[in-house]
Amino acid sequence: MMDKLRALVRRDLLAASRYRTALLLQMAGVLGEVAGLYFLARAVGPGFRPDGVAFFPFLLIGSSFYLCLVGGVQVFVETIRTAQMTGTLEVLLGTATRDIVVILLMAASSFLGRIWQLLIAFAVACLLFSLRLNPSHVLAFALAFAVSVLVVGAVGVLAAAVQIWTGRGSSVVWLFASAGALVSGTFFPVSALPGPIQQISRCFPITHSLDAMRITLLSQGSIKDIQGHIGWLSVYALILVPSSLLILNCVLRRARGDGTLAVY
Amino acid sequence: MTRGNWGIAAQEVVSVRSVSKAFPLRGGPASWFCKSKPILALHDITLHVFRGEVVGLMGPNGSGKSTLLKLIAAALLPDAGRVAVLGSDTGTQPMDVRRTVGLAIAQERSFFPRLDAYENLAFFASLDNVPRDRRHNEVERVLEQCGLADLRHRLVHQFSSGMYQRLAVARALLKRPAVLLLDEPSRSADLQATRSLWRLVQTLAGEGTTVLLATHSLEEAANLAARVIFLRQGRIVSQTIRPEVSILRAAYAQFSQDEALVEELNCEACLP
Repeated sequence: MMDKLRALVRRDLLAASRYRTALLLQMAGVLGEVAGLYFLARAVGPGFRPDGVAFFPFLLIGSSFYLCLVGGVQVFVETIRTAQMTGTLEVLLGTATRDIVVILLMAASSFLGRIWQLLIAFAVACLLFSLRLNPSHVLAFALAFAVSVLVVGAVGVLAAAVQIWTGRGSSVVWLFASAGALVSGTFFPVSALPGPIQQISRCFPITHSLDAMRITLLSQGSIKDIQGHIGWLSVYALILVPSSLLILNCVLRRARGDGTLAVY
Repeated sequence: MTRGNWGIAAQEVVSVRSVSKAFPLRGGPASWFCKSKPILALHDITLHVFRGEVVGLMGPNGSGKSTLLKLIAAALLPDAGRVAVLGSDTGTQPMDVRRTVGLAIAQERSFFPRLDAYENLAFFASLDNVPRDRRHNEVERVLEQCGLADLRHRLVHQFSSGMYQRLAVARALLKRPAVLLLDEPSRSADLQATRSLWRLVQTLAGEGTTVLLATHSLEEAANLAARVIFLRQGRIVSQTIRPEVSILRAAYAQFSQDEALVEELNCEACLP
C-alpha cells in the first residue's frame, strides 16, 4: 500500500514540477491569503479577542484548517473528475489494485498537497507576521487533526460516489464548503450566530475540528480539554467511514454495469 | 482442460457463456425513475479461447468488439451470462481477472501527459503489483518490446497517435498477462511499427499468451489470428478458422451489409 502511495505522490510531484508557473502562483496565493488575514485582524483592532485569543491567530487557524479540511473533500471529486476527463480512470480502475484503494490513494496523494499549503501558510505567518503558537500538547493536536481528516475523507468518499453516479460531485463539495463557512466558526466565533444556528453549528464536524485545533494550538489544551470534540468527531467517523465506503462500492459496481465509469 | 481444434489438449483460458450486455440510454438518477430502451451491445455471445490462441474480432463500428474485450477484462459486468478468465468469474473474482488480463484500449487520452513514457509505465507498474526491485527491468523490457526504448524520456503529450498505441500495448504487457486484449492495436501505426507489433503478438502467442484482437484490418487478422470471429449488432455472425485475406474480405463485406464498403473492398481486391 505504501509503495503505491509513494508512486502516486511521485506522479503528482513530477506533474506539479512541470507546471512551474502554477506552482509559483500557488505559493504567491498562500502568501497573499495570510497577508490579507493579518491586515484584516489589524483593521479590526487588538480589542477583539474571540474565545479569549488574538484575532489574527484565530482567523489563520480557522481559515487555513477550514480550507485544508474542505480540500479533503474536494480532492476526491477533483481526482476522479480529472481522471475521467483525461481518460485515465478506466485504466486506473483496471489495474491489479482494488478500485476503492486506487481512489483513496489518489485522494490521499492530492491531500498531501493541501497539507503542504497549510504548512507554508503557517510558516509565512510565523516568519513574516509574528504568529506565536503554543502547541504544548502535540499529540492532542495530531489526534484532533487525524480524526478530522477521517471525517472529511468519508464525506469526500461520498462526494466521489456522487461524482461517479451523477458526474456532479462538486455539488457535495459546494454544500459542505458553504455550510462550513457559515456555521463552523471559520472567520468569527460561533457565539456570534443566532441561537438556533449555533445548535446546527454544534452538529457540523468542522466546528469541532476548528475548536479542537484552536484549543490545542493557541490555549495549550490537552487531550482532556478537547475530549468532547474528539468524541463528536469519532462518532461521525464511525458512522461515515464504513457507510461511505459501502456506498462508493455500490456506485462503482453500478457504473461498471452501466459502462458509465468514465462518463462525466 | 478441453480439446482444441487441432486435436491437442488445450487449456481454456477465456470462457464467455451466453453473455448479453445492454447500455441504458440515460445514465444517472433519472434512469432510476424513467425507463428508456437500452442500447443492445451484445446478445447471447458464447466464446471459448484457448491458451496461446490468437483470436481476431472483426465487425463494423458498434458491433460490440470493444464491449466484449471490456467484459473479458472485468472493466464491464455482463447483464446476463458469465465471463471467466482462467476459471475466475469477472463478476465475483474481478481482482483475479485483472491480475491476469492486460487490456490495450484504442484511446490516446489514457496517460499522464506531463510524465514521460518511462514514468507513466513505472507508475502503472506499481498499481499492477510489479515488485519494486523488478519494476525498472520490466518497464525497460516492455519499452524495448514495443519499440519505444528511444522515446522513454519523451513526455507523452509529445507522442503521435501511433506512439500512444504502442505505449498502451506496453502498459498492457507490464504484468506479463496470461490474456492480452488488443483493441485496434495498429490503428495510426506506421508500417514498420505494425510489422513489429505483429511479430510481438506472434512471439507472445508462441510463449503461451492468449490474445484477443479487435481490428478492422483484414491483413492484420489474416496474419495474426488462428480464428476470426465476425460480430454484427452484438451477435456472432460467423467464425473463420485460419483465414486468408480474400476470405475475410468477402466475409467482412457480407456481414457489414454496407454496399459502399462492399464496392470499396471489391475495388481493393482488384488492386495488384
